[in-house]
Amino acid sequence: MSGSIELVQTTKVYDQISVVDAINVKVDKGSYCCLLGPSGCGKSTTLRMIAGHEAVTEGDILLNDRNVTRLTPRQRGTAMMFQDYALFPHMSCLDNVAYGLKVTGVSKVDRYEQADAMLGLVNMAEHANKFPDQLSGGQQQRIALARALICKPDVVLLDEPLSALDPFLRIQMRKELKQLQQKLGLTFIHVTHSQEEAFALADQAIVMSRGKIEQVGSPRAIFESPNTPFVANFIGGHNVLKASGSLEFLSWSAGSDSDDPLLEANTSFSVRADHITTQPRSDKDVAVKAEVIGTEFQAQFYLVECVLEDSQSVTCYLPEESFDVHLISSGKSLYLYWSQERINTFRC
Amino acid sequence: MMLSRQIHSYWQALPLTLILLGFLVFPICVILVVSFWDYNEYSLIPDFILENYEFLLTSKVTLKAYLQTFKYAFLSWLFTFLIGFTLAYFLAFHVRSQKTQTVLFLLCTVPFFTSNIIRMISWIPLLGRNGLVNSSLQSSGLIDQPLDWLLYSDFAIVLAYIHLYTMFMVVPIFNSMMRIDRNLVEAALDAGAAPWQILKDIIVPLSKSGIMVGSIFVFTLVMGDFITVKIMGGGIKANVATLIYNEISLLQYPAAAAGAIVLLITVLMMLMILFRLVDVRKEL
Repeated sequence: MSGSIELVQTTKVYDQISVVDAINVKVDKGSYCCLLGPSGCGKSTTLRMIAGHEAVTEGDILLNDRNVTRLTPRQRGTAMMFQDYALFPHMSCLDNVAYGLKVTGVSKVDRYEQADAMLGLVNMAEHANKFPDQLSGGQQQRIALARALICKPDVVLLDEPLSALDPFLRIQMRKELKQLQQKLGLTFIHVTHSQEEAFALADQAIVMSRGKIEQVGSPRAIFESPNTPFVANFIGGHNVLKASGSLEFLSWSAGSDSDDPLLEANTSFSVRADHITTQPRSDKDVAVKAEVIGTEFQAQFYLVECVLEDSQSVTCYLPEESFDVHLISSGKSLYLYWSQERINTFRC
Repeated sequence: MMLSRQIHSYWQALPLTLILLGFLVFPICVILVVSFWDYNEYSLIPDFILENYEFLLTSKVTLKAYLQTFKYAFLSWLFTFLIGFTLAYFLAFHVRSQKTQTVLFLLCTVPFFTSNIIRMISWIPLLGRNGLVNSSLQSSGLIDQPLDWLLYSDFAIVLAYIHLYTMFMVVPIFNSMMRIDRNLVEAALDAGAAPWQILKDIIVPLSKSGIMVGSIFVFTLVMGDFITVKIMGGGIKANVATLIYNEISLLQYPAAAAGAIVLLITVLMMLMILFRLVDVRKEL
């Protein structure tokens, strides 16, 4: 029991504006997939289209290779967990969880038995008779999850499930979600705007922007080589730079043993903030003159903000041991180095 | 310090207390006192007799009038509820743009620009023996004889009540429906609920308080009304309030006062039952 999902040219148009613009993507069965993007990028709309709460303007949605574009949520075999959980305030937790069974005519004894088991699965058995407003945020989330799972869906859809929780609880619930997903072997699709959350959870992350998919891949692959400047900026920890001005030498200095230009003039590229050093590691390293404009202590590392001679700004994360307060402080000039292999050129 | 603060809050509550005492509690007390007085054709005689109540509670006329009043109240409640709930549901859940919602809502209140009486009287040319409804039904050949029960009948009275009081149902129900989180409807849909199940399991329970407030309005208004019965009943129909009205016209004030007290107690008892069912304060 698990579901693969495929979106084929799926499009959503509101008032002649494409909120989701002909996206194609495949989610493997039993995987944890995160839809990642800034607000307004169409990720929630995509999720709601998969759930069946939003009509698809064009294109198809396939679940287990079955076209479900025109089916109701229940017929699809998906279950959604809403952003603010949308628990029925006038029902006890047990009734909330059992509701999916009640509407299909399961007898009272049977449905309470199954709902009890489901509450046990999310460790909420002792709260069965409480009402939603008597529970904390994390507890409400567990009830919402149990309610989604009771209909034995193939795919569980979560719309920013952690955004209503405080940071500490968020990390704890994040772990529980992942554990539960692995235990049940279901496909989870999780919408979030936090790259940290997506990286921690996802087997497959889908980065979206303005209704289009920017990049699909494992969090690691996305972080190692972002496809577009947008992705590099959005996931953070990257510097998006242009081979021009003080970086122009990149176009002719490709190292000592090659005549090929390293980068064409005006090409954009990214380099990770933690791959930049203040000491050269080899003579093939790229060296750029920069001025420090500010430093921040970030516990595990120092965040140093610099500006290049052509006023492109660069952020680097310097480990504590290589950070010298006397050399690196506001207004000081220094050279930044990174190795040629660390240069990530964009694919599009 | 504590004491002076308490005194301050009493001062603040004083104006309203005085108004309520002077214009609500005092008149009711007067009515209560007068209901024990004796009377003849010309004058009121201060006394303490129970005959007014005795006559009232043993008379068949009273019983009939109460049954009639309950019938009107129940039928009016039923139809105002059905129409009001449907209207509120349409306004709250089917009208998408807030602008249209406001416009339609204001449209519902337009009839309230005219007085109750005018609105009732405007039914007469429509429902009369030679009225618009009868003449068009006759000319279309659906009936041979004009329908007698259209005007000066229970039908006419209940129709007028519905016309007058449906808005009192729409407003509180609409109000509580607007507070229902739309995600709840989607969550129910997600669980596989059919439209009627969503209505029964989610929308009706969550607009229960609005339904109760509306019911209280309609019920108390119909129970205490006599003008509608007089106009739409054409003088041949009677409810409790018309009995009281008739006694007043005959200057039988103590009898009328006793009738008013019994009616007041009846309505209060029904309200108490309704308040048991729902916490209205939560809604205000």
